Amino acid sequence: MNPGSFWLRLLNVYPNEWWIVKRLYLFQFFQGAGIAFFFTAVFALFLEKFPITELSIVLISSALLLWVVGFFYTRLEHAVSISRFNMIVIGTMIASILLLATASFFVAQNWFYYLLLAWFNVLYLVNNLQFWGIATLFFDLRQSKRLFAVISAGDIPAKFFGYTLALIFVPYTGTRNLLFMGAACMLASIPFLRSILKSGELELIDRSDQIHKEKQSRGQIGKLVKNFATNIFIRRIAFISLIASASIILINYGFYAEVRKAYQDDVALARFIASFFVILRITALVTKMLFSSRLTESIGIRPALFITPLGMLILTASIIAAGWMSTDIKIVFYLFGVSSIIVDVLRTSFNAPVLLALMQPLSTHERLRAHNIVKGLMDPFASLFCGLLLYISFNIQGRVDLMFLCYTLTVLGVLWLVGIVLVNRQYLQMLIKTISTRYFSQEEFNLNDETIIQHIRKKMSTGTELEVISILKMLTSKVNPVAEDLIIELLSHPSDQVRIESLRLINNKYINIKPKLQTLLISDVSVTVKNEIVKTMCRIADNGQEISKYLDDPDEDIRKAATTGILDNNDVQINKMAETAISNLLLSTETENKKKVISILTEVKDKYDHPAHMHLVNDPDHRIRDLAITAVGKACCMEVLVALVQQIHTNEKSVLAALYHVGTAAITPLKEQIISDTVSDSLKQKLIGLCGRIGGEKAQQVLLELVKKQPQQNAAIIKALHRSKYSTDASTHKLFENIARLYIIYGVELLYMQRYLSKKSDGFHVLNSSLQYEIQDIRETLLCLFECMYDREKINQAKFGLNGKRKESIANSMEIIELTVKKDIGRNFNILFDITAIEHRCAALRSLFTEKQFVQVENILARILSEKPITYQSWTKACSLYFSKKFLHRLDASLYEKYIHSENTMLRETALFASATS
Amino acid sequence: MIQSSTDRLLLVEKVFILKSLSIFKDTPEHILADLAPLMQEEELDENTLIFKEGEMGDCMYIIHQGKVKIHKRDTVLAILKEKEVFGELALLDAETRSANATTDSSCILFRINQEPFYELIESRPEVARGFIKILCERLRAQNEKSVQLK
Repeated sequence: MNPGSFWLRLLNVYPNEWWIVKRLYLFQFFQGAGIAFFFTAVFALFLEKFPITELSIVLISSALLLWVVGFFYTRLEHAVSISRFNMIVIGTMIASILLLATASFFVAQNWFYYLLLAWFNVLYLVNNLQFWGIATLFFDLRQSKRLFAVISAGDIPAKFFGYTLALIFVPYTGTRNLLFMGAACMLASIPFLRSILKSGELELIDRSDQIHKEKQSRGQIGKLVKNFATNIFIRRIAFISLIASASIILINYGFYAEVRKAYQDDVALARFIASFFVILRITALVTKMLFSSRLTESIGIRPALFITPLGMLILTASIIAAGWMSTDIKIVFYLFGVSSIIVDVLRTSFNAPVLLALMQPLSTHERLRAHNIVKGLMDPFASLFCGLLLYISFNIQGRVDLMFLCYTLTVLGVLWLVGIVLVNRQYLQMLIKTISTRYFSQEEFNLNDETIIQHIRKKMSTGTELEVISILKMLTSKVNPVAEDLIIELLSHPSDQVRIESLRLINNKYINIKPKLQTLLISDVSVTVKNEIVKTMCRIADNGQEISKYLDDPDEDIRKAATTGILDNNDVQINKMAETAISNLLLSTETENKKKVISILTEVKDKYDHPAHMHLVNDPDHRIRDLAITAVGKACCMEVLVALVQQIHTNEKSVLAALYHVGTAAITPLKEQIISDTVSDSLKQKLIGLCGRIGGEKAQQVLLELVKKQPQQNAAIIKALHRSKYSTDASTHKLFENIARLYIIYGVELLYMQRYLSKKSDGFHVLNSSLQYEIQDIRETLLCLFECMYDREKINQAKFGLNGKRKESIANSMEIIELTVKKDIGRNFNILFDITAIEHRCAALRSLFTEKQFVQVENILARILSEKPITYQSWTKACSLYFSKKFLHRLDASLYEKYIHSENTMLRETALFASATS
Repeated sequence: MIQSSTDRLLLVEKVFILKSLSIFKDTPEHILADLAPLMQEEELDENTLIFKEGEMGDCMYIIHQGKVKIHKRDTVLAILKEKEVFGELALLDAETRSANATTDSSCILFRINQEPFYELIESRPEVARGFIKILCERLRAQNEKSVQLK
């Protein structure tokens, strides 16, 4: 089929998926036809020989048989490779049909007829397990939502084909020979299975999971049961599946009971069954192929689950109402027939594919296991439940009561709805858990636990210097008297570094520490420790008397330590004691004095600053200037801040670092710089980013103002707001949604550019890949917007998954976005950044492409160089300039001139090169 | 690659050269655009010693034109050609050179020194991230190889 084919678009299949969809479809077609032949024959033979009430015995025995087969199926699945396993399964199915078909001519005992019908359930189960076992390995969550309905639809024309042929052939061949036709159809499915297995895709999955598989191979049944018991999500899906299967069995049973009364011989029965299923399958085929995937995609995976039970409840309510209002039993019979068709259609078209799509976020092995649980464990339970229910009700009532079945179906319908609500609640949690299974939490330790305290003490005395410092840092996080005691104990540690670190942690809250510090000061300690003790004592002093002696000490280092400690003191009056000393040093012309005062100011930069510090920030000596800039902190004076900002063009890196340390006080001068015309775009972006890093309410307010004042910088502003952990409120939410829509439109334009360039010569692949980075940047901006607007944690998990390389995690992340973000935005985001062919994405987003079509390379190059619709990265612009020259695409001279004076070297030299006439 | 209007290569063209090297093939061009200005062109005659065994290595070389011989005394360990690099680990971790490198023909090499590279990393963390990614991928590939060998 042509990749652009109308049929592919109609079926919602992408060209790269067609090969596997086709093969899976044909495989399921022949398997389905084989099962249809088998069912028509064995059901007609059974109903001819036994009353419908005997069906309950078949259901009970089927349940036991299904468990046995399910057990062997699971054992085998984990014992051999995927390819070998599938060939063994299909071979066994064919052999069993041939054996039963031959035996049907010779064995006439009653048990054989029970076995035949029970074996149909086995074939149906094994086919289901095998088909979905293969299909779920090929597709991720987003693909499965689109494709599961289509690929499984192969089953419907197959059954249509099988039942139609059965209808035609049965008068000539007899019922038993239909079994051989069933085996022939099964045989015809083998080439398609082989082709799928030979593709190597399954082998790759198989190999990558080999180690895991080996570990898992033992005790599979136990693991299935354990998975069922521990995984709440799988348990809830299994519950829905059980209810769905039981409902179908009961609704069909009621219908067959009436059919049995109307038709007596096996051929007539076979013809009726075949005709009935022909109608059923045609309806299901049309629904599945044309509506299922589209409806599921548009309303979402969770609401789609409600369709089948709600449909069934409406139908059973109609039957009950008809039963009350009319005495004509035929009306109930017809309504049962119609209900049987509709519920089956809804189940195969919506319930089954959506349930399987729900399991797609699980890991490969969990998914297969979940599937085996849902089908292999739950179907037999449904069969057993229905068999017992029907058996008991027949023995109590003495007849098949359709109204009783209706009431039972109503109860099941309600339970089904409850089950769906429970599954939906668990779904998002499971998606998030699948993407990130690792949780990082700070190690918690309890200082009230004597064992832990003893362990810490032991480590303090035996650990290395680094280990003890690490313990110290851990202790500072605890406001606890025990922690304080432990810190004081470390003042006697043999390592100077540990003592110094401990001294730095001491603050005013250490009430009884002063005598200990005095004793330590006069003891035999190193000069560095001594200075640190003086500093600490001055820092925690509560009156001037106890520290003035250190300011007058003959030792210069002690004086310096005292000045530093005094300035670091929380009491302003005490601070003033050191101000004269500091002023003298600040106004000194001696380089050494300047260095000394800078060293003091650096230590106390978050608590104290002096206006004269600005002289050092403007000092003619660049070394002093650099040091003075690093001495700027939270306590920065306005005069110093002004001087600092003036240095931004000459000392960008260190000024930005200093402004970050200043924090909120730097926001106003930062804003002035951002809106100034003299600041380059690249510096503006850095300043905007800095506002985001500083964060806080004031920074967010400024950034929000900039969204309106500087829309060309919106990408940087949004990222900065995100960095500052901003969350939208009622007044800004709408604005942010509109920005998100706008950025999606920008992304679509870039996508169209890429599509055009990809059709040109190979030479443009570099420009094309630079556009890819631009699109990725738009994705980053959009995710930042989403985090500001919606649940930050969920979007963050989605971001994590989108940055991964695995197709499954990308699909799961997109599902989170679809569930979290406003519908139109989330949907377009997912299409834009999906990993499907560019043609498909462009086609799906064509309504958002509002610019003129790109008909020439010049259009694209001019659009990039005129910086529309976004501010491109320098590399993309440099590439555009370069290729305009290389491939002789002359552009308007103004576009070159714009960059000839750029401050970016690459842009400047490429613009000069491109504008030169050769 | 077309020749620029000037004698020297444009920065854009240097990015193309970097991108063509196997170690940078997965590094985005906009990150390489920051690395390109650090490339210093060196023209060397045949049989010129580039570095000696045991010397401290603090730069990497890219062969733009010509051939380079890696040898220990007279034993030739490898002959490197255009678009091959040598000494790339010295860019991140200064170590003594394990062999001699001598031009085997007249050569044009690009040299990237460790110090400006470190400065670049400091101001553009995405460059460091790009390099870390390359190293991680190499390590992962190496691990897979080890597992296969076992």
